[in-house]
Amino acid sequence: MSDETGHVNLRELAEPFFRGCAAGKLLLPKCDRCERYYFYSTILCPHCHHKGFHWTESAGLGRIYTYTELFRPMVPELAAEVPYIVATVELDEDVRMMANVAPSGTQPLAIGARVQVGFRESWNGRWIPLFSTVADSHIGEGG
Amino acid sequence: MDRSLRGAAAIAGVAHTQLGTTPGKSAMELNCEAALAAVGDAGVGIDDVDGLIVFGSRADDHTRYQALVAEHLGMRLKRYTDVTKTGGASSASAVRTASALIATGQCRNVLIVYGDNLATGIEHEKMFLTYAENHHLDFEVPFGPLIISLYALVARRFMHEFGWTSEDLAQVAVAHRQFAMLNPAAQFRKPITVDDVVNSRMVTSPFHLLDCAPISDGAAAVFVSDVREAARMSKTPIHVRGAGSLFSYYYIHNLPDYTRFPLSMIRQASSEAFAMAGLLPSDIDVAFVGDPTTLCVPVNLAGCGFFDVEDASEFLASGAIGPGGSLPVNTHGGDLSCAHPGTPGQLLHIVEATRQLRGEAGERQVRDAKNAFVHGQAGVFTSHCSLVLSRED
Repeated sequence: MSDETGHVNLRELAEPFFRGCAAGKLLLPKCDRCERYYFYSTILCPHCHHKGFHWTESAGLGRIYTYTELFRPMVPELAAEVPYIVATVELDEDVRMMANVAPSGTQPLAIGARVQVGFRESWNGRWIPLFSTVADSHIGEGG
Repeated sequence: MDRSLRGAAAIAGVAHTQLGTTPGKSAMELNCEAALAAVGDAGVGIDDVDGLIVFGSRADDHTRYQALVAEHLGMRLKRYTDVTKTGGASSASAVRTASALIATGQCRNVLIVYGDNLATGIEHEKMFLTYAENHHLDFEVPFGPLIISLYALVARRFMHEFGWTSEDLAQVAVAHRQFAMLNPAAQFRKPITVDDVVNSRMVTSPFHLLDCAPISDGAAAVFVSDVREAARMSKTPIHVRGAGSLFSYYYIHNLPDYTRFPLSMIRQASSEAFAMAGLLPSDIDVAFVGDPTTLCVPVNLAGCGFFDVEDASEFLASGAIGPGGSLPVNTHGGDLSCAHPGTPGQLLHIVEATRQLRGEAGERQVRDAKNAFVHGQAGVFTSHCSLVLSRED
């Protein structure tokens, strides 16, 4: 996470997240001191400002906080995927992240919809979360 | 100790260049044209400027863009110079900084100049990529959002929580276009209807093409002076009567929520400005708020206290924000219809606010406008700066 001078390279700090995705695991920073989850891997914990966290595997379940469907790709590499969905997912560990979502046939996409993590390769060659909608065992908690 | 900026500074000169597409002109040339015209509008020269605040161009950026702009203007010595990096809030924020420099005697005449040629100065795909880099490179860019997609995420929450509809947002696009039709300098002047907006192609739901600001070339400049000097230069100096700001997260997913929290930030920034000015929202004759998307207008206006967020649909449907309405908003046509050369767009709001208060807004003049409110907003509701501008100090 840091070189001999103690200098933290931001991209390096984030890299375990992507290695986790490639290995089929959704990893979240968890503070070494206050033991709370946060996202993403900032240098200091946003809750207690401690420097130091451990990557901890998430259960990979959450809800759609909000979403948008894109009909214009951000880059030409995404043209074949239009329309695609970018969402804010609220994980059960009480952190939010941006992710792509693929609605499953029987479970429509909506605010509050239950989602489960999967993974895909991004347009720029990184492994990233791709959530799918799943059946909701906690009816009525949406939104 | 009195920490207020009130009574210290006034806008003595404003200008903008041709807006829309200006092929063959560099961003630097646009910046210089606007700078020279604003100083000329104040009746002084480049050598009278002792503070310079610029915004780095995306088309031809440079590490020390402020020094480069100064060099192209032949402005050799400045007491203060900087590049602002608070996105769309930069315009109001620069007026606030200029007023603070003047209030503390560090500068007498501060020139703010922002311009870019996003429409013709940079390849379209490359521009989208440089804009993509506005997002978090690790935790946003891989998922492929447009910048306006982040606003779309927020829009979906406002619709979900407060029942706002696409038709409500379309009212914003229509009102801005009605004003642009009265502004000979505006880029888009063909009339549009609510149906046109909701039937225009979907870009990033719930935003249709006409919910989004275009991409333009153009530059604007605002010349802020010590209030006594401004009174000598201009027959109608426009007083910077109040200012307030609040800045927060980079990655919007860290916002505690996407609705109440941004509204509370806007409320705090605007309340500081209103309190400094000794005015209330009901004292405002004309308002200017950041409008890269239609959503931004009701969110910023509600946050600033012009109406309750629960009443937004009714307020927009009443025609209040358009020509002849009870609270005319972005009377030049805003980012949505006048011009949107990226971040510099919101400096046009301040140019227009000044013209309205001077009574120089032509066919779109708000009758007897005495007090204007400006809310600069950026970073998907994470950066906010409010100004109260007034004919009286």
